[in-house]
Amino acid sequence: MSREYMVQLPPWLHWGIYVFALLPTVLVFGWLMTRRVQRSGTTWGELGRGLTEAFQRNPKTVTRRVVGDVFGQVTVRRDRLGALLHLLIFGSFGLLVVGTALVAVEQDFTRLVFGWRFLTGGLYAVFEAVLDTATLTLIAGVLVGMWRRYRLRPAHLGGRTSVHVVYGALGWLALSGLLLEAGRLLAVPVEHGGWSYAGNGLAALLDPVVGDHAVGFYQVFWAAHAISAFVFLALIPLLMLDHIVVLPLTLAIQADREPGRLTTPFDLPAIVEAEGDLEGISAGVANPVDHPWQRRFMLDACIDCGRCEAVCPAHAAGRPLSPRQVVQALGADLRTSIAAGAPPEADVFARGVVTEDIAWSCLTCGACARECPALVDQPGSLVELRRHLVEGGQVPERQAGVLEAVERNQNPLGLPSYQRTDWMTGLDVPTLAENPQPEYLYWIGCMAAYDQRARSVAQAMVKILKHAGVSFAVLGEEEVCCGEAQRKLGDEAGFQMRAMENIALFAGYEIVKVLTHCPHCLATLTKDYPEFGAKIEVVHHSVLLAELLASGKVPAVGGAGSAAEVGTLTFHDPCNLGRLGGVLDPPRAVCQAAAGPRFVEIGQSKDTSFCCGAGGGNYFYKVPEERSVSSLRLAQASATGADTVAVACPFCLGMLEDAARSASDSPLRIADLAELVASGLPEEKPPEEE
Amino acid sequence: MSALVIVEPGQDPQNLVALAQPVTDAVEVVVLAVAGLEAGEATAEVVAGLVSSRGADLVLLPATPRFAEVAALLTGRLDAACAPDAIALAMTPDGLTADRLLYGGVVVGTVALQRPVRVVTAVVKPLEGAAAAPEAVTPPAVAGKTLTGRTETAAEGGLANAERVVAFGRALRSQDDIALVQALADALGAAVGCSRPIVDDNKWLDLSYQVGLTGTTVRPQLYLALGISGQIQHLVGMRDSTLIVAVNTNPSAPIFEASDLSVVGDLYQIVPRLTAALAAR
Amino acid sequence: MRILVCVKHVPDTTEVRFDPATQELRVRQAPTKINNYDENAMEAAVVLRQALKAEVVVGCVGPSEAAKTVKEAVAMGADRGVLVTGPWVGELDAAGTASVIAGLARSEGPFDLVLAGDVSEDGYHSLVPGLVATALSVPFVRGVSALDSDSGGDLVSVERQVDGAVESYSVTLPAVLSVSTALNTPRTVTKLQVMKVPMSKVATRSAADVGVDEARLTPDAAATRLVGVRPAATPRSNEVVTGEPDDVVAQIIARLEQAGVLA
Repeated sequence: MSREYMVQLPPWLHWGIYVFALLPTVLVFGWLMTRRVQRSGTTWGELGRGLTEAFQRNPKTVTRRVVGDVFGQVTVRRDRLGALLHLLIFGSFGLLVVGTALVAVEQDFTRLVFGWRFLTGGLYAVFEAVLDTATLTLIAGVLVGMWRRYRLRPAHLGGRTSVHVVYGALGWLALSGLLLEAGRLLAVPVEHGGWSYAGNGLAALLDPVVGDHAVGFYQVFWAAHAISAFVFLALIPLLMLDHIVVLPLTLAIQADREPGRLTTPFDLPAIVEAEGDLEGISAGVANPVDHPWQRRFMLDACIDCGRCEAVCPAHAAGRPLSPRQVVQALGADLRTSIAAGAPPEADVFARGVVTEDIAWSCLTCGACARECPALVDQPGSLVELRRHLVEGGQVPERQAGVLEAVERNQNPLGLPSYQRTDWMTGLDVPTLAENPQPEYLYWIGCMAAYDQRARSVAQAMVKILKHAGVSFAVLGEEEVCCGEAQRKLGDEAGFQMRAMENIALFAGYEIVKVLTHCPHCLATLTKDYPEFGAKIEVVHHSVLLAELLASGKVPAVGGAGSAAEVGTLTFHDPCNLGRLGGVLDPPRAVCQAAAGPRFVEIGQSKDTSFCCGAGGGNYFYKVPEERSVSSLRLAQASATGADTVAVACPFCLGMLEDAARSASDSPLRIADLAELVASGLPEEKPPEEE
Repeated sequence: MSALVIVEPGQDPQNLVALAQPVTDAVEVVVLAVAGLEAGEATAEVVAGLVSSRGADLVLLPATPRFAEVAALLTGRLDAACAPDAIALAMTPDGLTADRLLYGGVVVGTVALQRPVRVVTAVVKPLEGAAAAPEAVTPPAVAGKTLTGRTETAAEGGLANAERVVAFGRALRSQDDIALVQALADALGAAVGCSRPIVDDNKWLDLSYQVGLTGTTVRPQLYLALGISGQIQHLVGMRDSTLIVAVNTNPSAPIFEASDLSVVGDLYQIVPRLTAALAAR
Repeated sequence: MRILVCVKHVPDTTEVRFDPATQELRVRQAPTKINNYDENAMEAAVVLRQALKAEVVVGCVGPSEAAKTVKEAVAMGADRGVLVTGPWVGELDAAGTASVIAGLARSEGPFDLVLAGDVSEDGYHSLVPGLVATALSVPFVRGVSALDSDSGGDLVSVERQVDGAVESYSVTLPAVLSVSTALNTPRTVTKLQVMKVPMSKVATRSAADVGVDEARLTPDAAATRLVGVRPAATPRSNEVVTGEPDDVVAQIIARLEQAGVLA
């Protein structure tokens, strides 16, 4: 049992198909794909070097990412319906292409050269059945896709015309493949035809219609299918299916980019150290064409799937930002600039490609980037736009005020630096002067130092640390802003100089371990500072609290009074801690200790958590929006039926508590993990000296 | 010592006279019409003439934008010692000294005025009742500066001279809620004011409503501060009020240090009830 | 056209405090900055520089660390800056400052236009620009809220807001103008832009360099001298009221009645 190869077809097709079809297809595909790569101003040479570098830098991560995302569909999987249609089409099409290729290899290579055929017997039967199944699942995939796109029409789907072409073409190829198979089975009936169950079934249906014209029917559909297939394959670089080639490349090149890590356009401390020339350096990017090739290739890799838009909290709040539209607009502008051969005279804002409000709308929560199958860095691109605005002095008053406050008062709230230690009045908090070699430097951050509400987080932590006998000290009046707001608002140089000073401060005190309850400080100290030479380990308080609870150094909250107060508890993952920091379990361990079985998860939690509205510097300014991001998040939290929302970030605390207060019918209590744990401590003051 | 007080028609010289009294009994008030003397140079020349003809060694001017220009030019012209925005004068071992706010109102500085002629400016109130006749003067020519137009603008909002002020700050959650504050102000017969963020950040009201360093300075009988935390910049603009009542949810809000009655509570709970209670009287 | 913009190096007033424990004014430790009002003058000068190819020089009288303020101002778009400094700057009064600036204007001049902010954040005198105009015998307008350069002729048209009126003037150059914050919105400069200003663009001069005798800049020779400071707050009764809203309201009304505020 084996395939009768090219029966009833002219013999010259045996070589003709290679000369007149495969060769031109390969050539056209290669030429079009080269143009596809070049339209973002990238060359194969750069891509090759980029791939080599990526694999040399981090072979494991790159391999895991590419294999996982291409064959495991790790990122694509996150959108259920999208994943279904993608798997059906990608899997079926892949099988069909591989199957067709196997037939060709057998017939024209192993058979001719070695006289060996492998598609025989039982294997051949399975082969036929699998390919027929794949044809049917391909049709199913196309139908699911069309149903989703034309009937369900989720708002985030982009409107690329080539999607319609792809659905039409795939549908036609599947259908014509079945028809030609049916024709072949009618023209040259075989005993084992039953294994090709779809074609065979179709043949039975068509037999009365086709009658004596079976051979002609077969030849027509064979030709139609072959020509369409080769044309389709050749034109793939023109369709959104170009992602078959482009995505694995961009994934590999960027695979080791840390989530939430922004680009670093220059290393100012190093330049200053070397007394180098500052004249040529620039933080911002006026036009996408000014990016290095990796970023250009990345922007051009977007296939408009809209997953980013679907999860974007700014978009959900009715702000003018859609990450999909921004990347699409920047990509289109990039292609126009490359085609024109010269950079545009005015920047993207002056030319209306994006607006300033769009750039300021981003919360840098990273939800979009987490969902992006093309690993596009949407938040990073928006911060790059902000850097350009800041560099050009086009900064709205409030953002400018924040940047000025950080420079002048050493905190983004613009409060006097001499009030930084007011929160610790009367608490007997050890400073580095008093405890010069603590296990932990407790980094307070500006929010807990100044914000009336957030102060109680630091105060609760001090109580816990003292109770557990943890050796710690604070910088006190020497602590200054970590610079998170500067970096997120686009003041790159200001941030870098601040990072340099803070790193020197840590080094001066020989600080090894830093404890902080603020995920914003945490992210800045762990993601951003190492680029400028910081050698510190930073621990979030949720991690330490979980340890202290596990080791019994602090009691679980379950005391009668406190448990009643907590009630049903849920946890809001701060973006900088969960999705971007990867700290997911310790806060949950603390919540379990506080509420036991009465701990419930919010639908959007862990790495799908939804921003509180304060990220990316948004705590300090306003952009036009229809509803507040914090009210959306509060609604998600209250839908759990919880009485208390635990947070692990002073910004989230402020935002959600404000939202809870505004929603007058909401009795939700918002509390930091430290406050929950501290409430479980015995009331009587622990002895002054441990 | 002999003092010369200069005002425009419509300005009450009383504050300036009172300021001079601790250091001299010889106080003469001269009213100068604005017409013809718009340019500071012209007024400075006329006042310099008066100083020499009257033998004055202390000149008191209203602390207004127009007289700020005059004070600088007069000080230069007479090589005088100048204390703008003075709040008190005294004779001390250091000679004549003036008290004035420094560093955004954090401290009162005492300044010795070490020249034979002293120029002082201070806040004046609008004149109630008839004004004295303006001094007959011939407007002098001003070199290099020609008035090409003068447009009267609408009279200032009643805030600066209001006897009662109800002011609100960041604790007000939405622009629509200003109606709550307005209703209370109406019940009290008070003017509405606000803190800087309401103007600068929220842009709910224009600058004429802002109380504080960069806005208007008020001295009402009653200052009711609703949800204002009490940044020093704000306190500077209202701390001379007779009775200060502050409502704030935060018991450690700095405004409470500057208030007579510190009401710890939510303005949304208190304002409607207070309005109703006042209306019921 | 040549423009001199006077900028003052001031302590951040939000960081200045009166320490009740030591009865000391904590100014020295406060971070310093460019006087915000002078940024409006800088902005006006930079606009003129772009429109008329004017040369813009930043002038500052202050301690040696004021060089950073001069750099900041130059970064906004000036050609160069000059800092006049010496041991005498510490207790310089307005008249002394004005005499040094007038000397600077003569020695670096001639200038067609001298611009400054209306007031300084620390002293709030609003005296120096008028004193400079007097010393240079040129016209002066304070509180400029609109400025039209008459496309580079020797006249400028200005507007200013005074009590109850807006006045417009035609001013013959050279002249001194102090500007109000209503004139414009100053551009923001980034740390990088400031760092990019080479120190060669900031010249340092002594009093003698600008033709001023240091002996006239001592506290005793000054027109005014600070002889004391005390905290500004007036004591208040600070009665605290908490509790149920209705009780609170009753207490407020009682207090208003007691003070005679309610009729």
